[in-house]
Amino acid sequence: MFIDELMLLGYRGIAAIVALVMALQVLRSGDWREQVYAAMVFVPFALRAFGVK
Amino acid sequence: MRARITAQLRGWLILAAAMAVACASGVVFFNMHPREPVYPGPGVTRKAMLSDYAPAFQHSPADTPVYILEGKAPGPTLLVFGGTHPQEVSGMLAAVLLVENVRVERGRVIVIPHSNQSGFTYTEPLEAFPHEFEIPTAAGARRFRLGMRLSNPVHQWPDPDLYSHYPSKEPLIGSEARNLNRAYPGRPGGRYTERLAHAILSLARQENVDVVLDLHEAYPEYPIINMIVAHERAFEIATMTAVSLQARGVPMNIMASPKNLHGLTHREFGDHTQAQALLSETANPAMGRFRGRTDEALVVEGKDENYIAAAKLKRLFVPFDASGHPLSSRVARQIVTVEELLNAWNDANARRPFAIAGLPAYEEIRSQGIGAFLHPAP
Repeated sequence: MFIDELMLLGYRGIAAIVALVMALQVLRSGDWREQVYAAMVFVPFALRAFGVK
Repeated sequence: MRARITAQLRGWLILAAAMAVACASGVVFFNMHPREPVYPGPGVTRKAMLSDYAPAFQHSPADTPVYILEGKAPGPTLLVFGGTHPQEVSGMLAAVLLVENVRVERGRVIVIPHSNQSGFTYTEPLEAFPHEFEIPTAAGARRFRLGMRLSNPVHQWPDPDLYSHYPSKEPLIGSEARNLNRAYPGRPGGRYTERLAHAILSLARQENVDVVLDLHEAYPEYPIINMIVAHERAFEIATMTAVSLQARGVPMNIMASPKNLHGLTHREFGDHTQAQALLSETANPAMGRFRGRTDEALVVEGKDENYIAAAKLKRLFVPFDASGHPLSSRVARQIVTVEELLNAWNDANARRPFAIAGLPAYEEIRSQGIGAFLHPAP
């Protein structure tokens, strides 16, 4: 495996963590604005985690 | 307690909506990855994969078909690249026309229609490019992917602040690390695009290629347009090609490949292989900064009011009127450049000529359209 492939895998891992944290924030927050903002961040990071964007 | 339950319920609804948006977007992005079919014509004697020359690419997104059209009589070998820059669609389509139409009687023609397969899998954000375009054929439309100039960041990431070309150490802006035409000669242990460049150069070496032609497009406000850029060893056949094209009423200029501009096909294939290396450019208004609405019509018909205005202000390097620069004309230019390049080679190498048949004629492509020479959609 090449170094750039490892970096991409690491990036996808980090993106997966961000997406997960945002999903938890949507479920835990009591403020609807925080929930919407977290959902907006969730979408691109979920796509990055799966390597399609 | 009730407020807490309401917030949780709202959270689940918002999360479900976000997941639906992610899934819908994911389907759009995922649909850019399947490869469009190319139907080998009667002249294709062998279909290989790039990974046959560089086994590390097997099952990787960079792997791409290589079509070999070999004549019964031995002769020289021409290697044609389409899709080095997937946004420059006339090069890819001209390469597809070669694969689906040409028969070689003497010598060999090797064609790679999608040289940088990765670049066909995305479009740049905020540029509003269509993802596909359609070419009508006798039995229905064939759809082709519109890609971008660089490798997809999902295949090579991150971009360095400054890209240092190997081995010259010439510095370039970081995103050019994903530009196949700045990555030659490449290296087997380098980044994705460098490895791809190394694999393609290895193919040229292993197949003892004599002539390399890389088919490109540029925006009408770019000075290197309707141009053949040639390595110094290819200057004789480039000059003869350009003169023949001019005589046929196809405006074409020539330019020497700069010795201090590294990574490009016309420089590195000339320096690192025995091949005479050339690159051709046509004018594509869908790539330019003056363009208006960017849709399939602009890609295929090549008409744009902004460019007509820019031409009146003498801001362009090609004429631009209401007829525009249709894709059929641009593909015809690429095909007639191949034809005249082969004639020039034959004039300069009378004892070792090419003999090919089935090449679509310049005027026929312009009048009948590209679809008349494409395999009908199944």
